[in-house]
This record gives sequence, structure tokens and C-alpha cells, in this order.
Amino acid sequence: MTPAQQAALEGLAGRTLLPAELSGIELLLNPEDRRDDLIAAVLSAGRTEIHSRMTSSRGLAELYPAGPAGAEVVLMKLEGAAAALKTSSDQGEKVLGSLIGRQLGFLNGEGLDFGSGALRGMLDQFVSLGILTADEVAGLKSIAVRAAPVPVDVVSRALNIAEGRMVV
Amino acid sequence: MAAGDPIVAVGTIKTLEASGAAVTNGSVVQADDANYSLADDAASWPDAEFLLSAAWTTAPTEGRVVNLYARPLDIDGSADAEAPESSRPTLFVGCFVANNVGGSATQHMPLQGLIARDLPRLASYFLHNDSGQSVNSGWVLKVIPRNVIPSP
Repeated sequence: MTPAQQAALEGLAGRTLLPAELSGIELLLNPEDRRDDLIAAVLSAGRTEIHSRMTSSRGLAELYPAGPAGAEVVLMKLEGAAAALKTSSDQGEKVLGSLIGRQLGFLNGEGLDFGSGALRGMLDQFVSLGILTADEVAGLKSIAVRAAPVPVDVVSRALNIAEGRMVV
Repeated sequence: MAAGDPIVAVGTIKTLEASGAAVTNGSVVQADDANYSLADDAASWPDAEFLLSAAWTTAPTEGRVVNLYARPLDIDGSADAEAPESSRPTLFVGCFVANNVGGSATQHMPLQGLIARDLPRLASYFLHNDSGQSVNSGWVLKVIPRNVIPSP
């Protein structure tokens, strides 16, 4: 593998490729049978992206990794926290309780966008406040995470440029 | 058949590339053994058939194609058109549709639609591999002048 090929592939992967990955890809670079599809699969392993995904409480039961029962536990925790915090004498906790209750209202209606940075940040806060566990929040956030494979044609283009087969 | 009825006539086959280098997916390569001149190679007939004989070690995706591009030459005195690139064909002539067969078995592919019409007076020809897999070295591109003429 030439330095240009390696740089092109690492640029697509967005990371430094491991020695085992490089040696595996080396075998796929024969111009007579360059396997851009398999190289793309190597580069795509573990790649994910956060996307916008509106989900209601009904959808939550379907999409939550721990299933409907797990989703129900999360909802019960949030409802309990909202009710308890609203009765607090602390103004900040009252606001938080109201906020959770309002978000639960949205969740029961049109849903919430689990890809929203604001919502994901709020979920992280719930861990530090002891409202939800880290695993529960990770499960909620995973609803808006999907695979982000590197397209084969993108690999072809990058390698063709690196190999001098394509001029842009 | 009555005299004067239209019949298909073909000219002498010309090989534009006798044994091309491997073509990786997405790249564009020239069939650089010869250009094709309507005046010199085709009795000034404007149409032709193209034939690509190529093989893949790994089977291409069924129905994906190898595109045929032309680069018109001497379009303004001795000035040529730009050489085609994968995202800018210069002049798209047609495409060869690949079968999903690998194992280096040669596929003989006519141009989709068979006939390339109104070709440039003089041009060099290029393949753009959009089949999803590398085309093996040794591919061959031929052109056959074609016309419809009155029967004798």
C-alpha cells in the first residue's frame, strides 16, 4: 500500500487504520481485482452517526434496546422524578420537575427527537442527577444512532485519485 | 425484397483497444490503440456499433455498466475537447451492461441500444467503469461502422 492510498483510506475512515486493518486491505488492492466493496466494509466497521429521529412513547417501547418493559421502567422513573421534583421546595428542582413533565407530555404526543443535541444533553444530566442510570440513557440515545457505512463508490474515487487513475 | 429497399450495411471492424490495462471501479481509461475517424474508417457513415469484450475476477453487480465516452478531436483546428472524467463524460456514447459473472469469464457486450448515432468526425474513446468491481486487464474495444443503405 502506498502512502497516498493509506492517507486516502484513513481520510475516509476519519482515523488511523490499525496494522491488522492495513495488512488486510493490502490484499484487496490488486488492480486486477481491487475489492473496493470489501475495503469499504473494513472502513465501515463500527461507524455510526446520530440522526434526527422523532419517537413517541409508543415508539419507545419498540425501539428501546431493553424492550417494552425496560422502556416502561424508564418512563416510570421519569414520571416519578417529575412528580417528586415538582413538590420540592427548591425552585431549581421545581423547574426541573416541570421540564421533565413537559417533555413527557411531548413524548406521549408527537414524540421527541432523540437526535437533538439539546435532548441528548438533558439525558446526560439525568445520569448526574441520579434520575436515570448511564445504561438507560445510553439506551435512549441509541434510538437515534444508525450505521454510517462508507459507500463503495467513495472508496473507489479516493483510491483512484490516490493511484493517479483519476484527475479532479 | 425490392431494389432500393433499406438494408443494413456494416464496414470494416476497427480495434480501438486490443488489450487494455485493468480498470478499477470508478476510473476512466482510454482505448488508446487507435482513434476512430468517420472519414478514414467508416466511409463517413455517422453511426457505428461498439463491442466491448471484458472480464471480471469478482462478479460485478448485475445490471451495472461500463460507460463509453468519446473525446472529439480536432474540433477547432488541432484543438481537442477535454478528456473525459468520471463525473464529466465530455460526450456520452452509451453503456455496456455487465452480467454478474466473475471468474475472469469474458463477456462480449454490445452497446446498450446497439447503435451509436452521430459520432464525432474524429474521436478517441474511453471506458468509465461503473460496474462496482475492477475490469481485468486484457479488455478489447472494437467499433463496427454501420449504415442503412438501399438494396441493390
